[in-house]
Amino acid sequence: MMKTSTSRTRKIAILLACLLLAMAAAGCAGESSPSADSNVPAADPGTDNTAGGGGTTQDPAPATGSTITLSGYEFNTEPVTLTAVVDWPQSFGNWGDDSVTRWITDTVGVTIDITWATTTTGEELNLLLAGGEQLPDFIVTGGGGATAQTLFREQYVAALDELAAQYFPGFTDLLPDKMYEAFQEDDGHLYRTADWFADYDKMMQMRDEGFYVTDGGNQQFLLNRPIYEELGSPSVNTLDEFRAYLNAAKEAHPEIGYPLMMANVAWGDGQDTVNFIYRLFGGQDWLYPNAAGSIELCLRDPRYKSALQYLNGLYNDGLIKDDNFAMAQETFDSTLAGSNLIAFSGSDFNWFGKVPGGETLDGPCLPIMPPNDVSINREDIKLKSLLSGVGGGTATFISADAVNAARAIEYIAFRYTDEAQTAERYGIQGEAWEYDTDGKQIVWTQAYNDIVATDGWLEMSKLYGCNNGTHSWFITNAICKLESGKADYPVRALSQSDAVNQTFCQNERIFDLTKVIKNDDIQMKYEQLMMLVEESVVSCIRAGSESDFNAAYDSFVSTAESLGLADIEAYFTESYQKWESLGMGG
Amino acid sequence: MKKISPGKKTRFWRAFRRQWDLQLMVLPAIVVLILFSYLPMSGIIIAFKDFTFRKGIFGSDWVGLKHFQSIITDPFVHRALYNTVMLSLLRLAIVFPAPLIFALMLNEMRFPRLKRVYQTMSYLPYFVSWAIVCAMVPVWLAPNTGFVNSLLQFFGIIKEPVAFLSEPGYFYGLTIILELWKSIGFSAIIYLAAIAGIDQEQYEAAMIDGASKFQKMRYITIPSIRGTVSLLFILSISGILGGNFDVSYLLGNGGNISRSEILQTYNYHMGIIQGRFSYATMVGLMLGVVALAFLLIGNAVIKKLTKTSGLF
Repeated sequence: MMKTSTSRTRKIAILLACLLLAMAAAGCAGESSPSADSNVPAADPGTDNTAGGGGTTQDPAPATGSTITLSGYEFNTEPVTLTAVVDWPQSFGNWGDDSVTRWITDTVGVTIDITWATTTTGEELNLLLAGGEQLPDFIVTGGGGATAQTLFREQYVAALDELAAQYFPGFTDLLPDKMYEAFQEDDGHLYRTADWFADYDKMMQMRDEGFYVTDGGNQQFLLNRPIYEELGSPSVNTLDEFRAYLNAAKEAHPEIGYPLMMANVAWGDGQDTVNFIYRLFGGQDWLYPNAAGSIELCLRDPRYKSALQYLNGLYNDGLIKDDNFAMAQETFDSTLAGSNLIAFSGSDFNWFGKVPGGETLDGPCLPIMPPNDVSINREDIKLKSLLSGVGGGTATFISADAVNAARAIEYIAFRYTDEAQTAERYGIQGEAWEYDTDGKQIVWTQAYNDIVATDGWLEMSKLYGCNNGTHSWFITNAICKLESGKADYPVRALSQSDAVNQTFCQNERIFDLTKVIKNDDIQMKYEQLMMLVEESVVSCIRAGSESDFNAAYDSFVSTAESLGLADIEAYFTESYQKWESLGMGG
Repeated sequence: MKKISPGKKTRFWRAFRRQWDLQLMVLPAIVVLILFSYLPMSGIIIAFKDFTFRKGIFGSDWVGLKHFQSIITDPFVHRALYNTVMLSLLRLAIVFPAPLIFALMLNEMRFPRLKRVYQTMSYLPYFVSWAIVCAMVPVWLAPNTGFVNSLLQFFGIIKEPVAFLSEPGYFYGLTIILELWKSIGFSAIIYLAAIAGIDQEQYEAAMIDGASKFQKMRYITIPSIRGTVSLLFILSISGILGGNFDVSYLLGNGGNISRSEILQTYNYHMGIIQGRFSYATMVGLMLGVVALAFLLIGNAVIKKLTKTSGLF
C-alpha cells in the first residue's frame, strides 16, 4: 500500500516537474520569423548592399507598375506598405483617416504602418534598439540628443546619399538648399532629413509673391479676448503695461484660475517664456556668440537675469500660479480650452487649436504685439537666417534593416515635391483650399472655414490632413509657414504675430546646428545642465524676496559652472565656428 | 574489525537518491532562478564598460572605474542619494511602526464587528495601484479646484491655496502620508496574525494578577511578537535605499524635483531615457552594495539586541 502511494507521488512529481520546465522553456522560446507583408516584396537574401557605414539594406522587387511624374521626377506607384516607428504619441488618427494620407496612397501607392511611442521621453526607442529587434523602414525621432547620434554611430540607419545614388539619383536636388551640408556627418554621409528646414530661395520667391514668410513656433503673449475687450482694450505695448494689465484683469476677474499661464520655461523649448522675455530685453537666444565670436549660454547674461526678475515680479504679484510648473497635460489643455486664464505665453496654436473657432478673427485669444521695452526693428531682421529647427527638430532616418529601402528613399523624395508639400501644408485642393482669382495665392474653402469654426482646428486637421502628424513628420512645414497677409487667406487671426515670430528667427539655424553634440562627455554635462536649468529657473521665478532671488540665481550660475559650463561653451564655440565657416549663419 | 563509514560524497548521493522525487520538484524553480535571476546578473559587468547596443554586453569596451568616478562627482547623484536616504529614514521612523501601533489598537477593541470594519477600511487602499493614486492626488491637491485646499481654506487653516505638488517642501510629507494611507491596514494584518498566535492563557493570568491593558500590551503582546517585528525591521533596513519609484516618478515635476528625485528615478532617467546603460548600472550596483551592507548591519544589530537568530 505504502509502495503504491510513493509510486503515485513520484509519477505526479515527474509530471509536475516536466510541466513546469516546459512552461519555463516556452517563455524562453524565440519568435518565429514574421511572415512577409503581402505588399512588401520578399527580400533577396543574396543581395547585401552596404549602406550607412556598414549597415545593410535589402533590395526591393523591381517596380512593374505604372509611374507618376511630380515636380519633374518619376515616382513608382506600385502599392507598398512601409513601416515606421515614431518616437512620440499618436494624436492625429491612423493612416488613411485623413484626406492627405489617402491622397498619398492614391498618388504613389504608399501606405505607412506606424508604431507610435506612448511617451515623448524616448525610452521606447532606446529599448527597441537595446532589444535587438528588427527595425522598421523609417525611424522618426528628435534630431538632437543622444538617440539620434546612437542611430548612425552604431549603424542602425542607412546613409541616405548612398540609397539615393542607388535608387533615386534626383534625391539631393529635391532637398532644401543646404540641408545636405547641414546634416552631413563626419564620415561624409547624410543619414537624416529634418522638419522645419526650408529652402531660402523658395521662401524669398513666395515672399515676393505677396506671402508673409514666417517661422514656426508662434511664441507670443495671447490675451483672453473677452476680458481684454471688457477692460476697454488698453495699450499693452511694454512689459510694464503687460504687468499692469494682468493685475487689472485679475482684480476684475478673481474667479479666473490663471492670470498668466506659461507653456514652458526650459531652454531650447520653442515656447520658453523666459527666453521670450529675455529677447524683449535685448537678448538673442539661450546660446549666442559674444563680441569675440565665442558661444556663451545665457544664464550669466544680465538681460537673462532681468527676464527672470520680471517673471519673479509677476509671481509675487500672484500672476503666476505655483501649479503652472507642475501641471498635468490634461489640466493644461482644459485650462486653455476653457479659457480659464487671462494671458498665455506660448504657441498660439496651443490655445486656438483647442477651441472651435479659435483660429477665426473673433476667436477666444488675441495675439498682442510683444510688450517690448527694446524696440524691434523689422528691417534689422535677417530673413536669410529664418530657417530653423535643424538640430532640435524631428529627424527621419531609414533604418539599416529596412525591408524596402528603395521605396523608402523614394517616398522621402516624393514628400519634397511641390505637390506633396502643398498637400502637407494646405490639404487637398478643392476640399480645403482653392487658388484665388489670380491663380497664385491659396484661399481656404468655405467647408474648411466651417469645420474650423464648429469643430476646431484639430478636428479639421484630422479630417483634411493639413499639418497632420500622421504623415507630416518627414518634412513638416518645409515651405515653412508661408502665410498670406489677407485675413480670408490661410492665415491666423491677426497677422501681427508675424512680427513677434521674427524676433525668434534670428540665427536660429546656426544655433540649432551649434547645439548638436557628438561628444559623450559633453552630452552628459549638457543634459545635467538642462536638468539644472529646469529646476533653477523655477526656483528663481518663485523666490519670495529679492535676497531669495539673488541666492537662487547665484546658486544656478555657480552650480552650472561646477557642472562644466565652460566645457560646454568651448564645445559649442568650436561647433559654431565650423558652421559659420560653411556659411550656415545669417 | 573497523567499520568503514561512507564518505561525505557518498552520503550526499545516497540522500539525494532517497528523495529524488522531491529534488525533481525543486528543479524547475532552480532552473528558473538561474535563468532569470543569476544569469542576467552577469550584465552587471556593463558598469565597467562603455556599453553600446551593437557591441552588446560582452563585446563593449572595458573602461574600468570611469563611471564610478563620474558618479562620485555627479551632484545629481548626491542629491538623489540624499533624498532616497531621507525618505527611507522617514519611512523607518513613521511608516514602519504605524501598522504595529494600529494593530495593537485594533487588538484592544472590544467590538469585533467595528474592529472588522476598521480593518477592512484601512486595508482597502492597499489594492489601489500607485498609478491610480498618483493620478488622483493632483486632482485632490489642485490649488484652485482640489478638495484639500478647499477644506483647509474652509476651516481657516490656510488663507491662500497651496500648491502642494510644486512646492519641494511638501514632497517628503506627501510621500509619507500616501504610503501610510496605502499600507497601514495591510501591514497591520501581519502583526494581527502574530498577535492572534499568542497564548491566551498569558492574558488570563495577567488579568488575574490585575494587569492593566497597557501592561498586558507592554509585557505580553509586544514581547510575543518581537520576532515578527525584528524580521520586518531587518527587511525595512535592507530596503533603506529602495525609494518609492512610483510616487517620485509620477508626482515629481520641475517644481519639486529638488526633493522628488531619488536614485531610482535618476537611474531611470539616465538609463532608459538617455540610453546610458553603463552609468545607470553603476549607480544600481553601488545602490545594491550599500543596501547589502545595511542589511548585514541591521541583521547583526537585531541579533544582538533581541538575542534572536535574526534573518540569517
